[in-house]
Amino acid sequence: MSGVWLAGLILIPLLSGVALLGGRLFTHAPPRRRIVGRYTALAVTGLATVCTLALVLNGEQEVPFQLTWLPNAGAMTFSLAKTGLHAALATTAAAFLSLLMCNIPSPSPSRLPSRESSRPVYRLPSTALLLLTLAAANTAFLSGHFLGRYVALEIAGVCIALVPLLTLARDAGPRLTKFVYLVLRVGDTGFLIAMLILMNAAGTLDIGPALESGAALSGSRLAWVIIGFVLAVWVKIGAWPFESWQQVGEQFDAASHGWTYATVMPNLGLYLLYRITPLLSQHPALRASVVSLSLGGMVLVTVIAMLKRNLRPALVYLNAAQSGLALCLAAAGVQGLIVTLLVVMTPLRLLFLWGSHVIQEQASRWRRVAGALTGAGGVLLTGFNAYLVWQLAQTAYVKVSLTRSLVQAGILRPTLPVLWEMTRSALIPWPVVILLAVIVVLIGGRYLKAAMVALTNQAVLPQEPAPLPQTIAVDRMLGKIAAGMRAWLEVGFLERVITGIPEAVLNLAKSLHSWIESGLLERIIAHTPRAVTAGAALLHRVVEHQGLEGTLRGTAKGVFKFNRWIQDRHTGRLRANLQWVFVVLLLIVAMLIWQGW
Amino acid sequence: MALETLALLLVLGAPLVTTLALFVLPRRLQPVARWLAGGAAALSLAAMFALIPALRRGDVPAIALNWMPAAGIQFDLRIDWLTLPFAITEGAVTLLAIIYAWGSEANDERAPYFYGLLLLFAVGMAGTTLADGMVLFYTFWELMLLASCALILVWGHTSGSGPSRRAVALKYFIFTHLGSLMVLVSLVILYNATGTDRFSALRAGVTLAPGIVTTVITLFILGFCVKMAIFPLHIWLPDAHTVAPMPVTIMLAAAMLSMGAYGILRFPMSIFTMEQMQPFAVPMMILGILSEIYGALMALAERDIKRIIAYSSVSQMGYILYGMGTLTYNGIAGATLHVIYHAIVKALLFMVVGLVVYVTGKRNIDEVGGLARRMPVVTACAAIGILAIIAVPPLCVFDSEWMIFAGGLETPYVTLSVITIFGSLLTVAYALWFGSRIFLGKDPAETTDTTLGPVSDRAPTRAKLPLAMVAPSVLLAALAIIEGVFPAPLFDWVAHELPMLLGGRW
Repeated sequence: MSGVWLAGLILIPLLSGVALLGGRLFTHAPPRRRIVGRYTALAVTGLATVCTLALVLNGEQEVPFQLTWLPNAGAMTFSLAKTGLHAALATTAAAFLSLLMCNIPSPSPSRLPSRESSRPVYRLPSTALLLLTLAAANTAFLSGHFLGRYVALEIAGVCIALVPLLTLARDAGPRLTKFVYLVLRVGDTGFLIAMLILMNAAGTLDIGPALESGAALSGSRLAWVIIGFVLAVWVKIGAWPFESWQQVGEQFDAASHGWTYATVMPNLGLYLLYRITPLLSQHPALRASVVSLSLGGMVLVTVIAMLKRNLRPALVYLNAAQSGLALCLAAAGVQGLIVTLLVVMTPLRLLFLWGSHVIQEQASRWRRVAGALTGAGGVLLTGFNAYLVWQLAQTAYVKVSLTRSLVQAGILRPTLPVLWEMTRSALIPWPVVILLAVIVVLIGGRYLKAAMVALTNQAVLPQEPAPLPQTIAVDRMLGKIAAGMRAWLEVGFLERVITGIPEAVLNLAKSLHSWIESGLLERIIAHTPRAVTAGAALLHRVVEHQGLEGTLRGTAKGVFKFNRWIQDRHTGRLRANLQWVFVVLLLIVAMLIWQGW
Repeated sequence: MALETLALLLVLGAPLVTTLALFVLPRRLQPVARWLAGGAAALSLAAMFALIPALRRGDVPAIALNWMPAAGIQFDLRIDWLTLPFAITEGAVTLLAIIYAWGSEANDERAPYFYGLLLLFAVGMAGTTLADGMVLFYTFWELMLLASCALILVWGHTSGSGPSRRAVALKYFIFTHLGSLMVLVSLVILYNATGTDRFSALRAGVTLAPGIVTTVITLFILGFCVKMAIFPLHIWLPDAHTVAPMPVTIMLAAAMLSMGAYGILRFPMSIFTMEQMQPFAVPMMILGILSEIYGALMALAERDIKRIIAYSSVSQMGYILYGMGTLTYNGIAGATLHVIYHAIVKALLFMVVGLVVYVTGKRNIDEVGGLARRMPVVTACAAIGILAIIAVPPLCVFDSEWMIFAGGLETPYVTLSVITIFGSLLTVAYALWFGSRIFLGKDPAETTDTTLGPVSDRAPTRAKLPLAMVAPSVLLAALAIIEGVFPAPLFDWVAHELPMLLGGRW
């Protein structure tokens, strides 16, 4: 029976997606067909969710079918392990919910102020691509073979990249498609390298044995495997600075944004991270690098997220921050919580996205509900993240549990030596754990703020420019303190300092915003293709026209010139010819004499 | 006469006799020239397929005729598993290029000569693969060069600022002939060592001094690398591919380049053992990587759409050389598969470029755009070609690249393999840029031509394209999918060749 459910889970979305896409490409879809398409997609994702649920309830079973494709790659099998099924269930159900979100009627446009009707238009091709991506993603989750998983990931990547092409304007669409695919392909390249090295070591592409063989690899090969996998995960989950491909999703309808861009690839990445976590512990140096990089990225994206007034773009940074946390968990060896993170984050992302839509629409009757739910989500996220950080602190890599050691150490007496010992022995030092805790509170708090806006019926705040929301609170708070001090100290130096702080913070935030967001690695990634093209043009000019070709042309010219010179000497005027004849005759005579004539 | 012997004779005989007939064709029969050429190419291809059952039975179809008995030189033809993939690729490409020429080339009074020379070019390539003697091999090798050079010289298209077709033909001749001379020197050394020109003597083993072995292998590899257009020996390729008429370009890129790969497999890798070839592994891999990356960078820098695809060949040949350089089962099998898949995809992309030039009359990528609405079928073919060349599964090139990369990672040089795999991202970059600029985005004419009224009012008019040009493109696009999804039969052919290489290592 599991074979039937599995086939349903993959084939129903696949065939429906192909049918919808084919219908869209070969006919101009009228509005009625678009509605049919919407509800068909909803039904298909619902069915797929039921199939996944049935598989989860059936428990782990052997899958009766397998596929042999490439020579020497072995048969591609499916694996119905619990974690893969849970990941597939979370992702499939999220697809259903995201489509449901698209189908919740919004207030009629005539009742809305013009600025607020900015919800991106629902488009049929993006729904078709969503179904195709779902089929590919479920194949990837349940594949027990690396080749099967790679193919599924590639197809999912192509489908995701095609969304801008089929839904946006003719100038932006191709550009963004190219960008998204190229970035996702970087991750797939890493995955390919890791997978091929493991295949070489294990002699099989079955995921379990291949990963187990990683332990027997030599240092450099193991390093390449880990680098390849981590790169793949890093890109897919959209950790900094690879969150840029997810930003493209902001321009699409809720389903494409919330699921195709914000859910499916990050979930695939998290599941891959879950599988490779044991490998990370094999290479301490790389493990420490992953921790440092992910933490640095988390701090940066959290700052950026705080600077975003609108929740919609902030969702990408939330993902990026959570991704950094996931990488930390993996590096610390907390494998189980990665799947929990996947399961918890999937509905929360959708909730935040839906909330951000509805809160922006003042006329919506759902506004208060959305505000309350978003706030609750924020609290849940804060609590969950705090739990993750606590779990992180419990790992063997923070040698002494943070709280226990603090209690044992007392407040003053031996604190410093103990803290020093912890810092020295820990892979993740305690200040980092504290920093993490601060970050997770900030991330969750971001949504509490939004909830407050909705629940208190405040007007929607202007979108741009986006000042630091926390700064406004600080501003108000400091203003009140300053007013109190004015009464006490009169107007003086202290007042100027205090009132100047908010402005300084704001300026700092703006500078940081412009420096980080439109600079650094994101900018490098965005401009790399152009830089490569410019470099290629320069190389082309220097090597093709002035270098190789120039040298060869010069040589050829030299040879021709020499030939012409010789030829002139031979075929010049008669006297010159006779001179040559005379010289040749002399040479012949000389040779004959030398030969003994 | 046995059926196999007849088939083997037909492979070369049908196009050769038709060539002679075309050269003396009366003027009133000139319209049938293209049909004759197509028929001959189809017959030759069919004869190749007819030889497969004999190979499967374990037979090796061969013909031996006396040619120069005093020198011990014979006219020997033979087909084996190493020959088969290359011969069939060449035959299929010739047939499709001739059909494409029906639509792209004028059917004027020079047409019989054009088709005659195309067939002669094909005879050169088929003969190179079927020859079972060194002299015969070299004769067909040079025939291939002469015929293609004549086609470029007489029918080449030059743009105003570009080099003249005479200059291009001369450059093409000199460069590839230089490579041929290197091959010739090696062949003469082998002839002196064995006292016969027959390949069977070479297969039996050649005893040479170590220094001579190094010289012979080096000259073979360099000579065949010229034909493969490996960086920095590729200088002839961009101009020749650009100036040649499109059917000739298709044959040059999709079939003739692979003759270099065949040469490396047939000579150094068949004659010498793994131990003798080992010192050349890393240089071949490095040359392959350089070519892969350099070709892709040049493709990114080019503006002429024909030259972009031409540089793409330099890059793709880099993969093939890299695969062969790994000296592993997967690497060599992948390289041979890549020759076939590259032929499919490159012929497809050049056909697409030909159709774009046919419709727009432009070759500068900045002057074309938004053609998807005018040429939907061609766009679909181009999309398949582009996705295939960037190795998106389950299209064909993925299979061969997979094997090449797997072979690379079996060697101790993991870093080289990682560079190759990351280098493939450049292929993604130029292929997507190429496709999106030509078929998607805005047509530059829309923004500049104000006489046509507002852009939104202009309905896209479907371009009328000759069926002879579209049909081969569609067929190749379908093949790119079919070969990708069902690689096993082709791999089965290739797997048979491997025991013949590197002293029967596999």
